[in-house]
Amino acid sequence: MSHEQIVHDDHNTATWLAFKEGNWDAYTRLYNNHFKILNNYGYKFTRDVNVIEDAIHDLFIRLWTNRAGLGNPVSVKNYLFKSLRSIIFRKLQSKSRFVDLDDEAEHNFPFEISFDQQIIADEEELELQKKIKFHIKTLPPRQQEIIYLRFYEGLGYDEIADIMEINVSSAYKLIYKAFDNLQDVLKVSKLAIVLALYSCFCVNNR
Amino acid sequence: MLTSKYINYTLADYLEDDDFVRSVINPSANDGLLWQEVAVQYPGQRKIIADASKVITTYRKQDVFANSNNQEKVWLRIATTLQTEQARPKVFSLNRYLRVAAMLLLVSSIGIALWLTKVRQQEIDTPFGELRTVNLPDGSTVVLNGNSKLSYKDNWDKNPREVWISGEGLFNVKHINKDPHSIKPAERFIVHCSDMNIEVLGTTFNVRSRHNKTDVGLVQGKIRLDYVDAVSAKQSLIMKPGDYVRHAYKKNVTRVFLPAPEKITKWTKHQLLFNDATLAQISEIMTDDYGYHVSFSSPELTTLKIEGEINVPNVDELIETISTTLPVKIIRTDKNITITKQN
Repeated sequence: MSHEQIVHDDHNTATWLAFKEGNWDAYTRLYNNHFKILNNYGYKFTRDVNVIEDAIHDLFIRLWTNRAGLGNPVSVKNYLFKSLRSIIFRKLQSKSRFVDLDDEAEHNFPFEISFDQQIIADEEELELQKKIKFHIKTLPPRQQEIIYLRFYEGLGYDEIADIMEINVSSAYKLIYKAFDNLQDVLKVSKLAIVLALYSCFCVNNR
Repeated sequence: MLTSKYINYTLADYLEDDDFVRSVINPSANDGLLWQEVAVQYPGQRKIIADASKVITTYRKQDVFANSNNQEKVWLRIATTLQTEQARPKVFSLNRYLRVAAMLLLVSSIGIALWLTKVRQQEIDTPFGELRTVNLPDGSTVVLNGNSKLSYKDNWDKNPREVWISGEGLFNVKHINKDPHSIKPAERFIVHCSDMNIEVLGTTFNVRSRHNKTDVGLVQGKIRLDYVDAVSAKQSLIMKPGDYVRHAYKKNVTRVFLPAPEKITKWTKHQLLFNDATLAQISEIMTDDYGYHVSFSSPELTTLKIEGEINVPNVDELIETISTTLPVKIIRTDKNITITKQN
């Protein structure tokens, strides 16, 4: 964990402790520090903004009402991610009972990231992005989520397992499966080699 | 750190390695040195390391949805809920000036609150590609598709329940009428479209009203359509579950029976569903619901048809399906899609 991150987490922990004491300012800060990242995570499960906002509302109501009985999570952010995820799932499930008449598996909630095409100017990188995108789309939603938590949120296996409520060894297994395929995808393309040379060039010139 | 363990590392091994992933996402000063050292000691690793870090950095270039515009609004909702539950903490001590300011704020918010509680026209607009569930005052719900607009008065006491829609919405109307032989005004539920009004008694149905034509599909219950134009041969039509009606202003009405009416609600789960659709029909959905601009190199391309059912989760996959099934080439740049004949 880098220095910056430790400072941030300490900061969050202090806020958390104050919030548990009933400090309204700390509670406000907790909300403002996490609103954006919670929305970003929630948006991966549903594009219905109302569902995400309702879930965040419920989450913070629950936090405040139960504050006296809450523990001290190692990472406040992870704790909020985990809680938001389960609230969103419950909402999506009750919603799907409402409009959905198919017999689709109830727990197979979607997970979808959207790549940014604007900030990539380099054509080779765009090509790689296309490959990764294509590959990731073939994976089941829960594997996609693991990849997101690992490479976007930068979490370790134990943290991922905790948020997704699976055991650590299945987190390992799922992610290994995902990468194994990814390697094949890259191997097939000569592009990877071109890319590698290109990046070596960059490293050498630094 | 020992570098020897990296001697036989594969791409997957690097992506599995916590130290490596962290050093790409959040590099510290020492990290660069470590990986350079590995690369110097094991030249075979150089390319793999570069590949692995490229994979991670490319993956991380994603669109962010921060919803910043609504941060205040959601916070107000939270604070209001807590206040009504009387769970808010004691007011912290304020100094004299703040007290005066708080007082003024209180007075002005009461004024605003009074103004807000008057009956007002609610208007909900959705941007392209975004769904929104609207809870109506009577407990009925509407799932609005992208690029759609719904308006209604926010107080329905004793008045008929009326909404106006342009675009597409899936309605789930709460049934409040007990005696079908005497329907009180407040029990009526009317959906106004550009070319017709839909009268409802508790039901699930889908309305798509764009470009002065309206498609109505009934999933459950019973509804009556009243056409706005007197020229239509029939003034009104009673629909049964599974009926699908297309009506355009002063044009004929088509009526078909859907064997699986629930499929017309697929869009509410961000699914794009087409049946024996022509490229013209497909491009209309992409334009109206998702905000794409679709152009064809020659007009006869629009009549090309994909036989059977397409059911895909997003526009990317829709494009892929089209280009693999039809002899066309599709070029997409941002929101512009050009469809040309394949040579």
